Amino acid sequence: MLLSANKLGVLMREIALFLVLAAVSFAWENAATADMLQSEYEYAACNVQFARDYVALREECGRLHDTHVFDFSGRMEEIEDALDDAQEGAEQGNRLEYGAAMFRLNANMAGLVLEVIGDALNNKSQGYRNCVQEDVGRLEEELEECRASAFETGKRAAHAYLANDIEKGESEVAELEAMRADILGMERVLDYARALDEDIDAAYDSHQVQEVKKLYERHSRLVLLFRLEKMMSVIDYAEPIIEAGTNENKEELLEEMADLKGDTEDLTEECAYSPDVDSGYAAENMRCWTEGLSLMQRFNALYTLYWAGV
Amino acid sequence: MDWKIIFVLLAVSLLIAGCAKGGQRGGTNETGTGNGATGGTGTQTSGASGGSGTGGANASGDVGSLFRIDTDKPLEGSGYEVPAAGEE
Repeated sequence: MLLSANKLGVLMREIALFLVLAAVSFAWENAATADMLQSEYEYAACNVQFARDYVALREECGRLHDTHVFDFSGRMEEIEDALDDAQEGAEQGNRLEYGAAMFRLNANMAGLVLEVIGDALNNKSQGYRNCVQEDVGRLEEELEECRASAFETGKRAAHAYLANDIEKGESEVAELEAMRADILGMERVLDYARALDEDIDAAYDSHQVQEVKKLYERHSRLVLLFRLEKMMSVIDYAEPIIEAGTNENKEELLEEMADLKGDTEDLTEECAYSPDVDSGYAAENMRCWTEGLSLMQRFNALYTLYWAGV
Repeated sequence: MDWKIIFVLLAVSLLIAGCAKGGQRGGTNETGTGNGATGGTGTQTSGASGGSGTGGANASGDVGSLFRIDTDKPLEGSGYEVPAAGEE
């Protein structure tokens, strides 16, 4: 059986396209991801330990004061399962497994909060209330100590995580700079990231979750903006080369590149960076990322379109 | 002709076609815009790119490779959102 030269050419092109798409699917992973997940897990584990102790305290006081206490055992089993899975995901740096487990943990802990409130309102004696109140202060102190340790772990992980991101960004800037592409926008974002690193210690040392979450929000915005700037830099660089070249999809490429650049510029302006995180910052990040991911997918589609026309 | 022979032929053809394409790209870029890594002017790239398919090909060949961007989102701190039951 012989294949004609034409069929062979088509087949080779499809194989090449497959290899290209396989290469696209490879994504960089920050080497400090597992450390970050571990530090988050430690914080969540502190809250679970507090919940265990608190539920045990309520049950003990119920026995001492002959007061009926809601059976939390089913809920606690769910919590323990989710925590185990979160630990496994964190140790492996598996964001998917960790995220799913943390979602379950979060939901079950919120459910426990509601059950505790419901039980507290359900016909409890004064002796029982005093019994719980006597020991809960000690549990809260232990909780704060545990969280302080988790914040220390988090601080170290956050420095490493951001440093890795900056290093990767610098290598991407260097690559484009070597081609004489315009990298000023990317450089500006990296400067913001370096300034963010200086705020890490204060946020974690405050032992306030809100302050730590602000770091996450700022980091998230910077990662988005860096990618948007990179996309614009690549488009600016590639446009005249493609225009002068012989790619079969040249017209389509140039048109989509121009559209994409305009849309990316607009989003970059709308999602401008600020180190001051207000109450609407997280929601704005969500919107910016939703639109940003759509632009990134259009950008990656140029890769396939380009190689299909080679 | 069995599949093994077809496979070998395919691999060799792919290799040859790849090399030819690389050389072609190198040549094509000689008359390009000069925005590539190999320099700002057409004359600077013309000598280096003709023979081997590298050099000038660096510009036009790498352009396609540049259209790649990570689409994963950074961490969101979900572990810090877990509430503690009973905490005041």
